[in-house]
Amino acid sequence: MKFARIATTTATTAALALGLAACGSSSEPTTSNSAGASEAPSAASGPKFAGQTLTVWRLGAPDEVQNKLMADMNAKFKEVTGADVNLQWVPWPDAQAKWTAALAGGEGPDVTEFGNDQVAAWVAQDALADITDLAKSNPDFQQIPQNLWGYETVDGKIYAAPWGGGTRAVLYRKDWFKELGIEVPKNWDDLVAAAKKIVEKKGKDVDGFAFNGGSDANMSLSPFVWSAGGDFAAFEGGKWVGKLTEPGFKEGFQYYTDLVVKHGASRKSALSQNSIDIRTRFANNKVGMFVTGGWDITTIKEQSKNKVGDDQMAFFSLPAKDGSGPAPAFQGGNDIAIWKDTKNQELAAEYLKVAAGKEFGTRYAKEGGLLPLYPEALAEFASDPLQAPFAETFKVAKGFPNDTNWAEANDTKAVLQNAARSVIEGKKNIDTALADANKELEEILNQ
Amino acid sequence: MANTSTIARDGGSSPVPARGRRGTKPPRGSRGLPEGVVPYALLIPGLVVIAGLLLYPLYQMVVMSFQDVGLRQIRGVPAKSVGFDNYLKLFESELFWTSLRNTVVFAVVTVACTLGLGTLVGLLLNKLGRKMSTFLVIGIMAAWATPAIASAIIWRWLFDAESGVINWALNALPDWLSNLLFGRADWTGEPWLNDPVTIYLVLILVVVWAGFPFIAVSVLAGLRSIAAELYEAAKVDGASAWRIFWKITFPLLKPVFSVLTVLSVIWDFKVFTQLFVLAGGTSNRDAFNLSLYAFTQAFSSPPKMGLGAAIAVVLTLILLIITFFYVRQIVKTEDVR
Amino acid sequence: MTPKTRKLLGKIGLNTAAVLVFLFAVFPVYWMISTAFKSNEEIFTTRFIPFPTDPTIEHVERVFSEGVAGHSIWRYMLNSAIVAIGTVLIGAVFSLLSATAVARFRFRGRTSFLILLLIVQMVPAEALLIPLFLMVRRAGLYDQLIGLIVVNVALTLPFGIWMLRTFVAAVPRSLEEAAWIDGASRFTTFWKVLFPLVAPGLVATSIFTFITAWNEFVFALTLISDQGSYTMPVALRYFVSQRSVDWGGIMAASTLMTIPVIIFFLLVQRRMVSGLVAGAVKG
Repeated sequence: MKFARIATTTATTAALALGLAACGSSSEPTTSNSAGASEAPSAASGPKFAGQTLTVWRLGAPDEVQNKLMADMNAKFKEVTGADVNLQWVPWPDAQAKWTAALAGGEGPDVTEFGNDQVAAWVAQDALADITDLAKSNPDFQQIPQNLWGYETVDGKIYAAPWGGGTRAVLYRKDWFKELGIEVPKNWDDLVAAAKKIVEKKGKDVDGFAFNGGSDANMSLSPFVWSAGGDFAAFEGGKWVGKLTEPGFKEGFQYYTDLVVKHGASRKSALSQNSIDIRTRFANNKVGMFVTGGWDITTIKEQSKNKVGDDQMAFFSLPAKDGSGPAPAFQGGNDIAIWKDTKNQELAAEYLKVAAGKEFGTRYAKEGGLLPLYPEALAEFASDPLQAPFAETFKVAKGFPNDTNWAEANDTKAVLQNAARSVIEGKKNIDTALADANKELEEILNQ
Repeated sequence: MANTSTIARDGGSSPVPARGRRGTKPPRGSRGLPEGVVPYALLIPGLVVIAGLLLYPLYQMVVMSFQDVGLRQIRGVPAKSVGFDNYLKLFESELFWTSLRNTVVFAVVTVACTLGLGTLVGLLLNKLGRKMSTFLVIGIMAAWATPAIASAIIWRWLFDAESGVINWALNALPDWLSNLLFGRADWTGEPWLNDPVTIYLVLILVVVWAGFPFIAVSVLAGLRSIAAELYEAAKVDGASAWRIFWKITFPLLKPVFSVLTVLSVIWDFKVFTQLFVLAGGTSNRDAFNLSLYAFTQAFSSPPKMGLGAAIAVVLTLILLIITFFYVRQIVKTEDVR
Repeated sequence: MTPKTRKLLGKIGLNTAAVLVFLFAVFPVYWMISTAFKSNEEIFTTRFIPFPTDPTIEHVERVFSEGVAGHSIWRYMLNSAIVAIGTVLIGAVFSLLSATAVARFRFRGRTSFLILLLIVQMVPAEALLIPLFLMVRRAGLYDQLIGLIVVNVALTLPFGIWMLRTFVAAVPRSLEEAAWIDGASRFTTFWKVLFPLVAPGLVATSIFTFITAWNEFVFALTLISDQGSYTMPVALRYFVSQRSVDWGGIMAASTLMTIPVIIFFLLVQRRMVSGLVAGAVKG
């Protein structure tokens, strides 16, 4: 089973990258004919669910754009089914704990958003409903390229619908770069130099390149590691073997921690900040560069009251060490799934049809700064120069170890975050820290 | 014993009625219960709550600590017994020992500081004039009243690395003084909430800040009940303030102190909310104490409730051992008879 | 130095100490309020700005208009109030009954019950989190305020009984006996004679129960899933994790939660102190 899944993931990545490249040329922006597809069932099930309420969990913090999107989406859902939606926003760092409590407590969402790399873990916990039939029968879902269903398929059954693709690039202060005469970095040395210059000119409390050591640290660390030829772990001989002590990983990890230790490019005082913390500081003129996705743009504009707007920020793809191209970034994405404990499978399925259908699926992705999954929208997206860094990065995107226990290592036990912390604070040298982390990672993955 | 309470405690006027000596019997109306049954009837609600919601869970906790309880078990699959596995796993894990160390060191330091500061402030309140005393009581009420969660958030802000007022104040100290005291003068961006040692430093401050008013007010109440003549006499004898405290105040307030100590020990051993906020959730493992460790094991993904229960059992045992002597003392000397 | 100057110096010393302690106690609360009314420029600075030079209510407004987790902040206040008041009401009845039993009667098992009360107070409530979570879930009370009320009653009851029994015992028995002689029934005696005299003690006990329930965090965090049922402390925590370093908003929300409690404390201060004296301090 593990083999199969790893294979699908790899295939997904490659296929999507190819697909993207191919789509780029044949751009043909159309977003019509989605209405017909999703209205067909509405007549039949319209009044059926009137008066009922469906609980939906979205992840993250809402901003104006998202609030509008969800209001429209839920209005549409009400129109189709007659049912109301109880929408709850769960902060990303709290999500694991919330799902756990929902499973343990027996009261949870009916429908929930998911990070696609988390799906496998929760299928293993028996948390998600099998939606194979829905996915195969719905005309909209049929348009989502088959190779994008890799993370969502476990042992031949589908447990979630892909909602938006996500990859990360470096968000930077365009205006500062101009002001200080900094070029967009082409390799790692450039990157450090740029970060140091920002700290030097903008003040010691500013992060030139913000170190992420919080809940989503691995999204920020992984491009460095992969770029140096390392990886987290590999599935060899029927079990996971940690690769944290290999030279490639060590090099990337060292570069990442040195941003703080050696170069002072990021404050030592904020070793556990995650991308949400960094984003807020970015909006308050305290960060020069950090790794994130397109979804942060709207929030930053809102938080800074447009003082940090389109003229002040832009993305570039993180360069490879030697400048040979973009470094591989984490290939993520969000899904939407039906919670297995739901008392109303049928209604939940209706919600999936609306939310991840062509109209709202595309809106969800585009307005949330994610990669749309419907081919026409994807093509349109790839031809947009603003989004180019993502499209570029996406071609070389990679995934984390696809194991049900990865979430525990990544999030709950925060193995690498703790290793980085101990190195930066000088408690362990880099070899010991990585050796310890490697041992722990293997233990967790092979449980 | 100079008593702070409204109840007389000596044997003669014990509040507990001695059956035989009672002159008047309560009436036994038609609806009245037989005399012997009444107390039990009154006790039933309280007893049900305590037995069902405290003792039974306690028992459950011990049972679970010998089982493997994951999500499947919570959702209905019968739990398997694993003997002492959970405990063995605990004792082998480095994390358990650091959590235990954090818990104990923190509790010892915090109890000492809270009691020390609280007592001093209590003595101070007793000496102050009326107006000043009211003024100070109102002030310390503000600290006392602040909910635990809010106080942790506030202190986190005070200790913020960039814009925190603490770092500003340390920077504002004359350099020579700062160098003399701390061996450094520059505190810009000093991170307080990364390292377990400084996290606990802040935590001690938070808990002492929130805890000393209670001690102070209790000590003050105790002091007010000590007869003024005792002090007058001591003063006439020319005793020093220090001597007066140890010869008169402390012995008379000993029962008060013993209660306050035990309460503080219980509170400080299991402090959770403030640490949860200061350490920023459950990711900084070096900063775990036993409560946070148990919580993380039991409620993070994947939940290991058996292991969590084992940690809770250890914590409970420690507290019971520490407080055993106190309970015995109360049972011996107080009106539990 | 004449005794007079020494006395004066002593007085100055004492008052200075009092002012210092006062500042230590009040400053954090003051700083919270002052931050809540500062503009972001004055918040994100390394300088010391003692009070908002250009006070703004933007943060407070934001907290009110945006709410937390899609609900108005009043919703959480209401939830907290329901939990706290529910706990107080049930707790008051139960503790009064039990306290009367142990303070007015001598019966087999009384000593054991009192020792039991002491011992259960030693058990850390956080340790019971895991089994209580499972029990609440099995009882179908997960995600419901009533579940929180039940748990809070259990957590506060031992202390409540322990404290209240001294108040009951302090009521002279002769008063009740007089009522009996006049032919009053047991219930009348309780209601007309004992209850009014114990009422102040009940209030004092209830204040503690109320505050404990209002501020309770761990159980509210684990036993409630639906954001509409969050209590104030959990909502505040959620706000913090959602806003991360938006200190203006966070301090505004904290202020909104803290001020009512502080006012309540100041109002009931006297009773609380008397309650402590009678109950807590004694053991």
